[in-house]
Amino acid sequence: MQVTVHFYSYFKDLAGCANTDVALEAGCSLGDLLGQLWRRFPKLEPMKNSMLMAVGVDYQTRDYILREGDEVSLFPPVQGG
Amino acid sequence: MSGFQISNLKSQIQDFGFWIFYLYLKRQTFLYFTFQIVKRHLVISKDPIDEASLTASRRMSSGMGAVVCFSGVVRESEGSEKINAIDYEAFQKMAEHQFHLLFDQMEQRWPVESVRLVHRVGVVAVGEPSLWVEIIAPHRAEAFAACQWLIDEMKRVVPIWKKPLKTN
Repeated sequence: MQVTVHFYSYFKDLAGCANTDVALEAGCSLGDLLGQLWRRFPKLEPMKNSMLMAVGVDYQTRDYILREGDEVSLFPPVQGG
Repeated sequence: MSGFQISNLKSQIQDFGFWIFYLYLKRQTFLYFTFQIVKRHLVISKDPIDEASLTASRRMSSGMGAVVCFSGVVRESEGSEKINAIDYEAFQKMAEHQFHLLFDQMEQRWPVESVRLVHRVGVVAVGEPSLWVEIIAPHRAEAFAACQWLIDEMKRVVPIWKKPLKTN
């Protein structure tokens, strides 16, 4: 299956792109996806403890099971206001 | 247990189920009429915040006694460094969704009649407002509390980020 990953704020600079498509085996979790992303975008890995993750428009945790076509977003702590 | 006793027990269970369902409907009706009529106005935009226009368009019922307005303005410094603006970035679709989830929670906690919130994105110069919030409620205590809570939660969950733009 394929999912799209979007990066926001300075995560775009660390990844060097605003989004990327990732091919995964069916049944993979968000945590599995992150493992792949650390290899492709090593500058993001040091951010993993403060990173926020969403699928669609809702926050999710690493055990979330991804589905074909999911839109995953990764970003640093929010700072509105 | 005799057939009569089983039948009686079934009847009691049905009665209990009916009352649970009745109480559930009553609660939902109460929640609908108490909370679901809250007016919401949410804007996330690059346009400057027109506070005068927002104030002029205020609508409140005669039972409301408190209007709390908050305006968040870009400061001239970020930490120890001078800046001339902040560039706000939002994940717009998720930000709107998360704001509405917060409005839902706020309505469950306080008897708010209206919530209006405007957040700017893009470059906002020092001295200009980046956030405007208005809460209308019957009394000041709930209006202040709801406003404070909403802004605190926004800073925790709504995907908006800021990048200070330094002078030179």
